[in-house]
Amino acid sequence: VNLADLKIELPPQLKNFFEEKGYTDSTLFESRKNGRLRIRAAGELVLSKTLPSLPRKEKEFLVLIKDVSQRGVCLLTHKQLFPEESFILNFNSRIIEARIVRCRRLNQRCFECGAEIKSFRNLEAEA
Amino acid sequence: MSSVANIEKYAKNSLNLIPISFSTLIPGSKLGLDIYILGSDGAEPILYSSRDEPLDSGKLRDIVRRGKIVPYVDASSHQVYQAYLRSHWDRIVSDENLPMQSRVTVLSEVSRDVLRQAFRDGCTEKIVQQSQFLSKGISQVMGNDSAVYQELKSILHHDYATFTHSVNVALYTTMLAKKLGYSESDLNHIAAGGLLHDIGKLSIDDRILTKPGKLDDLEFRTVQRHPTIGFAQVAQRNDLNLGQLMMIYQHHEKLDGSGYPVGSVDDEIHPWAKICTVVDIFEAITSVRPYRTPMVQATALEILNKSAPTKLDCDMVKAWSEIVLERGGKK
Repeated sequence: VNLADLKIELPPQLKNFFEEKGYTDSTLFESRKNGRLRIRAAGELVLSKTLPSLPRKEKEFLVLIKDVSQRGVCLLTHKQLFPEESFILNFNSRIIEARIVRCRRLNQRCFECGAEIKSFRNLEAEA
Repeated sequence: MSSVANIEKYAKNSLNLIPISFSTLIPGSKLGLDIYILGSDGAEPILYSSRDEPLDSGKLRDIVRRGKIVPYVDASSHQVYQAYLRSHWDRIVSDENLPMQSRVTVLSEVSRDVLRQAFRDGCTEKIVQQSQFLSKGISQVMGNDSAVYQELKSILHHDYATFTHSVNVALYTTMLAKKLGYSESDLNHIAAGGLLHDIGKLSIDDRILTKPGKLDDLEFRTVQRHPTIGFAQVAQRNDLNLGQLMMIYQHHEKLDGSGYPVGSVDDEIHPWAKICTVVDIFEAITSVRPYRTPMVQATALEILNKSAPTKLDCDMVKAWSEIVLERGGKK
């Protein structure tokens, strides 16, 4: 993936996006059961299921992976994704199939999307 | 003895009477319930019409003309009254010769009743179906030029039950959309969207929704999930359009991005959602809430005006203010 092809504009609070590593801190009110590991990489996303009232012309685009847990993945996208849309994400020889559960706007060209993982494959490990 | 005291006294002794409206009664039809009116001071309520007797048109006309006489039915048989209203729904709603007050009363009563039942069952399919059924009547009546807010507000209930709030928001959104020039077909969809806008609250614990005090952070975050939950419940449906989905998902978004769940701004927010936001705020602050008494409409309009243009659409707030301040007597 060529990072120059990304349409995402990182907001100031994510200026160190690619440098950050390790597990994220959990806040008191978070209900997550599993720790989230920062995986900062670009990936190819293909929308596999869209909504009847919201057809998509652009179904394939590049995204940034923010962090991954046992059950969820957090992405940065250049456009808004909606709950119940599903996608297949290909990054670092891994394939994740997931469903969007929430989305938050960071700026006009950056949306933080949380998704629930339906399946995960590590092609490197399988090889 | 006052009328209220009279009814209270009577209720203690025998029946638990609740008021209904004469304007919802169709001459010649059978209500299937005894109807009472108040006697002279101190006397017990009088049986006006017995359950098997068809409602006499002359008698009804006469009593409506005399005004200020309120009919009562036994509260334990309220379901019969609701069933009566439902069975005459089409006739009352589509009869443009009937006073607007009668039509709105039926709209409000039947919509609340149907939605209350559907919400109680918690079945999304049923809620959507019922909302689509009710929206036709709502758009028919509220899309009429003679619908006036000042008359409407005295008819509507103003409690904090989600189904009551949803019905009121549906009526208001339809009025505002009509004022903004939306087509009849759009009004129908917008009315259904109004009825469904808080569908996500069904999944929020009632103890949080009806908490009398201030919500703590966790409770507040839980309540803030309702647009996303509601959207997810209906997003896969083919019978709801994008505007309706956005009324559910975006009715807490603000133009400056300070809203939730996404923090969308300006044109990222669907116009139907913007309409819903304006009347949702107005309805919420002019109704009873567990944690405060209702505010008067002047205060509510002041709050809306202060929120425009940074958070709310100026034209919509202006149009809604005009609707609220408009006096009756159009028809």
